Amino acid sequence: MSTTWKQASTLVLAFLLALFLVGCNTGDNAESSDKETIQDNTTQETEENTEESTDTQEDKEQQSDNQTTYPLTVTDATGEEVTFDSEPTKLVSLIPSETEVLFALGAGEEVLAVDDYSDFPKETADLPKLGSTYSGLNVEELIALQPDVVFINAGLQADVAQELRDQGLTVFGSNPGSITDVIESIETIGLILNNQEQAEAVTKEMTEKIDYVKEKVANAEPKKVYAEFSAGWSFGTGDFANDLITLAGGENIFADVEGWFEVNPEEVINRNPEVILFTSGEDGVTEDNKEAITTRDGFEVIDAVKNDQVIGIDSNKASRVGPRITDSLIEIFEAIHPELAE
Amino acid sequence: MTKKLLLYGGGATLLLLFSFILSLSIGSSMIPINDVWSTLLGKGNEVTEAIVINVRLPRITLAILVGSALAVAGAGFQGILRNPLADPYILGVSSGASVGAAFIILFGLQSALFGKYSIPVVAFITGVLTLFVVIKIAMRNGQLQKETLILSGVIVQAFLGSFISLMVSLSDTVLNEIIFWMMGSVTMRGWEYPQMMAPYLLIGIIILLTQGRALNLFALGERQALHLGVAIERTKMTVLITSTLLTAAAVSVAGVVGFVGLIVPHLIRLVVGPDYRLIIPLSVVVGSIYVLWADTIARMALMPKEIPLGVVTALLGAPFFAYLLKKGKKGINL
Repeated sequence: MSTTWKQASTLVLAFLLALFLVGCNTGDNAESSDKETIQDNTTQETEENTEESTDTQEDKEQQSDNQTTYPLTVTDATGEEVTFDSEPTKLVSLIPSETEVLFALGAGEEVLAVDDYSDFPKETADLPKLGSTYSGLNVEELIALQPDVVFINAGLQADVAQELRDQGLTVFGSNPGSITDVIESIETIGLILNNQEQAEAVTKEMTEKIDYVKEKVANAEPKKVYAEFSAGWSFGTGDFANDLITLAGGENIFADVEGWFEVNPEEVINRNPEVILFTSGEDGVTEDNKEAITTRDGFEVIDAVKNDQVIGIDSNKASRVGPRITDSLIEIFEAIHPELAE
Repeated sequence: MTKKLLLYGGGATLLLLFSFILSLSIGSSMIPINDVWSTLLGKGNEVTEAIVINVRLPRITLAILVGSALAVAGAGFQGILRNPLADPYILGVSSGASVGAAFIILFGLQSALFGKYSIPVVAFITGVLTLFVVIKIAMRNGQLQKETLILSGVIVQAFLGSFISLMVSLSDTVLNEIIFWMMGSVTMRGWEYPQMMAPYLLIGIIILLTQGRALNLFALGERQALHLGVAIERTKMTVLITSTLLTAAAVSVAGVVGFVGLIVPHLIRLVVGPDYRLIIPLSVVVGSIYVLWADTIARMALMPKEIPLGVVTALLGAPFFAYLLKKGKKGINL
């Protein structure tokens, strides 16, 4: 191997490692809990909103109360105070989770462009793509769009946030570390966009799904789960999916490890999971993925393989900290506890 | 010479046997050594049997095969190119194999072409094809100049390298399988991979063993070797193609495991002197010991995590080699 190639690959590697270390470590970050503190006079208003919203929906005064007052200042997960002088209507999202939030909040029409990975909902297919953090963002085109606000993930894209702010753009970063954080983050974005009602509807549905799963698994014995979301790789604590497994009545066999790692197959056999979760792409490679695990040498003695409890889940739903995260929770719950699901 | 070979060869083989037994006995699951041995004798329970016989044993076997293939190929390249920096990857075989593997991974064809052998088969083919391209570029009037050959290897490697980078950047998974494939690993390969590789290894080693004397004469210079009766072009082709096949076989099953092919022949040279009749057979044994231990560390050091094998081979090898170089400097010329 020539030195140049070695160096280049080392760089790429170091870069990617750094990226997903940052990405997977959300648990430790000071900002991870996504505490967007709402300042200014809006604080009281929002609090009132949440209280009132549990009452009657059709109330006329409620409608006007649900309006956001500008200028609005919120502190985002990068620790920056972001001020909106008026309702932002030209939006850009550089991360699939936030794209999904914007569309779920009914602001899809206002989205000017998204990153390459944003592929849900299907309307995103018609939007201009601005590259991605991994392969490079098209910053020039982004600036030319003159967006009112750019949404990013503060855990994965802190550098991007800084770079765009240096260019004079308004950037809002979220970095939810738990399902509750995702709900809070969606509420905050609803506030920013003056789409509070939709935000309420979305988060209400999400909360209902969480409650449904919680109720179902309340008295269930946790099952031992091994999750292989990328061939030969698993994760322990600190990853979002680990929390999903716990919430869904499972117990990650690698809960003693932190972050993502290439797994030693001997240890999987030794820890003998009752359920194995793997991710399946949209392109229907599910059966191949499943076979790769079930036919792996030595795995035939694992309970999950013996009892055919090797189940594929949608990787996008499970990995994107957006409105579909609760769908993923239900999917994982049904995979772990099929006997409790109806 | 024969005495020396028996002495060093015997010692190294004993060391390999010892390493094999030790490595097989220890592992990340806390199975007592007694259980390991009763399992090997067919008296273990289902779980220990699965772990020791279906997971650990094939993995150790593959590490041994890959190590010996890379080390002996490295010796071959160093002998024929008379360049101390020569390693099995110098002519771009690893880049060629990586292009094939990256292509398969990028388009998700892992089980589409040749079942579970898609990656190794394609990587092997592209690796060998690369050598022919390199030779084609370097050939002048039916002759191969070693400088032209190395340059041509560097050029092809740079070209393929950028191609791999392109595929890495197009790949849309955060956890980039292409990069991890290239860092090398012998885990989760089962028995099929060692079986697939063994015939190439056996034939390759036998061929290279017959070339020891010719390589010794090569060290004097090609003209001198010619005068002493070596068919230089034929020897060159034989050694190059054999070493390439060995390298391609190793890379296609285990990814790019670096440093073994470079340092093992040097290490042996430092100890026994520059005689290829010794370097070639000893490389086979010492290379396998080296990779066996590197892989044992890869699976044990951070359990239950794995460390990429290529990382361990270089991390261990570089300082060790620097130490030997410093210590054995007097009188020994690389």
